[in-house]
Amino acid sequence: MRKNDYLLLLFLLFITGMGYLFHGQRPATTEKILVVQHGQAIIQKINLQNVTKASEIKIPTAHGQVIVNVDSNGAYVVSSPCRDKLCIGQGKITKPGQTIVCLPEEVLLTLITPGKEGTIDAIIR
Amino acid sequence: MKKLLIYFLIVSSLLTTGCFFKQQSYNDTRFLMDTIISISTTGKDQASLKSTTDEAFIAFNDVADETDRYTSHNPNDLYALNQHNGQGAFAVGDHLYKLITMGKEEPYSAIEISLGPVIDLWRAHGENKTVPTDEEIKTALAKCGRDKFTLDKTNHTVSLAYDSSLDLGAIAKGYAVDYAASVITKNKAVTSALINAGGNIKVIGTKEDGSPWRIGIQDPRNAQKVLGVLALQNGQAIATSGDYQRYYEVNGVRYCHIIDPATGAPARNAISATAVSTSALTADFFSTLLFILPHDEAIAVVEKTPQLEAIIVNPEGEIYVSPGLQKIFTKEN
Repeated sequence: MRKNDYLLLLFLLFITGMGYLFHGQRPATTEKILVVQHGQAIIQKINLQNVTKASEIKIPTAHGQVIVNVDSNGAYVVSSPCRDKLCIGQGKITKPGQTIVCLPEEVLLTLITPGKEGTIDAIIR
Repeated sequence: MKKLLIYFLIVSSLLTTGCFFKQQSYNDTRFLMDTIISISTTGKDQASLKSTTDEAFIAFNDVADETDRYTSHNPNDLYALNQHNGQGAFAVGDHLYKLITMGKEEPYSAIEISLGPVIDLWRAHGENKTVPTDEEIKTALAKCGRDKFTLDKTNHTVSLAYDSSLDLGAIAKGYAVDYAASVITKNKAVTSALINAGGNIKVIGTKEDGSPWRIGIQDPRNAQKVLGVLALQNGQAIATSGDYQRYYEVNGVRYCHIIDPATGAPARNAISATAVSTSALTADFFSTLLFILPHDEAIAVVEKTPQLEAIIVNPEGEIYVSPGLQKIFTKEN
């Protein structure tokens, strides 16, 4: 190898090392993803950054359908065939880690963020 | 030189994409025991994480089936036992026997697993948004008490008095979390895990970055807020009992699902009680107990019980944080 080859190798090593070192130090992303689950199945994952205008998603359940309003900031349950309507009462979720649960209809809405730095691992209810 | 550069490029691309050292993670969420159960695991091998999580769910399901009092799952489950009331000894499954033994022997009268008739009464009234009369409650309470069931250690049987029925809602989920956790810890390929069963959480191992597990405690009066965040370490379990998850209202009065055996009516001494311990079963038991007991008595129980810490919110919204949690609890503004 010539001297320039060693210099090139050293340069590449330096760049790689820096890239690896700073890999885990990126600022937490503000990206929010709404995960829609019914029963055991995840039926939709929606990146809220891509939601340009509020829209409704309909989740078919055993007793009808749960209707969820989604906008770029968060989501809430508009209507549900369940008896107590506690899912509607849970209001709008806007922060990663928050969830809306409809137990009778087995619907779970969760906001997550791809970068978990500084966020809560779980919420006890 | 060319060869060296090719090797170098392969290694550097592996490093920069994080594939070489990055831990794998696996999450699964299912509806069981009338709640949502999430199990999150991390480790080096994705296939092993998935199979361990599946096994943990099978374990959870075993307990769920055996302790479900509303649906028949197997010939030795709680549903079958309750149907067998007044007909002598009945052989029950192992999980069920352990839980009923605990319910019989634990020293606090505020936790009563024989409250089935009272719970059924409130459930029926809840469907119609009505409140039971004092007479109805008195009649139902007469069918409850520890003298209404006996255990036979040798034959693993339980005898239930006529018209009585057991309900393990105060302890079964915590037991199931511990049982699922024992399945996970047996697999050395799993380096860390979090089992979240709604009101019961257990953490296993340490997170990849070495930081504590951050568990938010729901604000009992605002579903989208947390009271604060607790930093938990390997092996710790946490459970919360509150009046906000299952309840109904009549004329503006809230009737929650946790019944005080002393009155036969929904407990009103707290709006949220969180217990932290090393066992999910213990945390589950004490969260219900602390929710039912009068505030001062609840604090006295926390102070005298080793390895028990708690956060209790009374009806006025005042928050008690036990001394052992004050350094690891960050209140949310």
